[in-house]
Amino acid sequence: MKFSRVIGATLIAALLATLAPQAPVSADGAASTRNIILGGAAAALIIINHNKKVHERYAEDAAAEASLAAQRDNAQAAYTSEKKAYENEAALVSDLKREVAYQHDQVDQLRRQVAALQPSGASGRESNFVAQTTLVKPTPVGGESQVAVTSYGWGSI
Amino acid sequence: MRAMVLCACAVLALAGCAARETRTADATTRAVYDDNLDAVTGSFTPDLAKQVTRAQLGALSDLMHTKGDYRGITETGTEPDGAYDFRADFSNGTLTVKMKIDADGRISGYRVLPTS
Repeated sequence: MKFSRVIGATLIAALLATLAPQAPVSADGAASTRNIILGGAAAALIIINHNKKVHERYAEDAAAEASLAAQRDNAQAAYTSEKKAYENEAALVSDLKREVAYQHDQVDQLRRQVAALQPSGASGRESNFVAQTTLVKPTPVGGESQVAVTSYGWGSI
Repeated sequence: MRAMVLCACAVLALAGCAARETRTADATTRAVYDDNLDAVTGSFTPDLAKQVTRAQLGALSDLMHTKGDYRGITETGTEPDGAYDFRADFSNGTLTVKMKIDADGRISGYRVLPTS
């Protein structure tokens, strides 16, 4: 702002100087005209430079503001994405809980059925329909291990 | 030459026995899968057949159906007591089948183990 005032004052001073009483003209007209043209060109150059500086400042401010806005938008997008992922995880956990509860019910139901099947068959002897049977399983190191597994069927093996 | 022919006959005989046991296990497993009591007990020894109840057979059939469609059976080995091990293949998994056969070729033990 001060710089603009200085320019304005300079221009006014130059104008007033032209209006001041003139001494008897003894110089030649060509030199006077050249001086006026040079002064006007200098003033125009000063104004142009000033405007250029101002516009550069405006552009820098706009760029900084745009950068901040972009960062803010990115942060908002990241937050929204994280929130959505969390909601999906929560829904998945809920589904898994329901599935575990369902499987627990199924296991209980099957246990009851197995218990009901234990009575003896037509032979009148104690049935071994559900029994522990040894199963040979390969071990990760290349050996074999015997594990007792619940088996279903008839006869002893 | 004669020895080679005898060896070949022995190999073929052994292969035939193994194939017969596999066929028996396959037919019995399919009968269990189909919940067919007569077909199941038909290949059992009389003593073993008496132990089978419809409820037990139905439960075992249900267990097999949880694995999907029955595809077939493959022998995986034999045990010291003479029992045969099979892998029963289904569309959604497998089960282990153990079967014991007596001297008359009848099933004296048939058990199904869930495969973990």
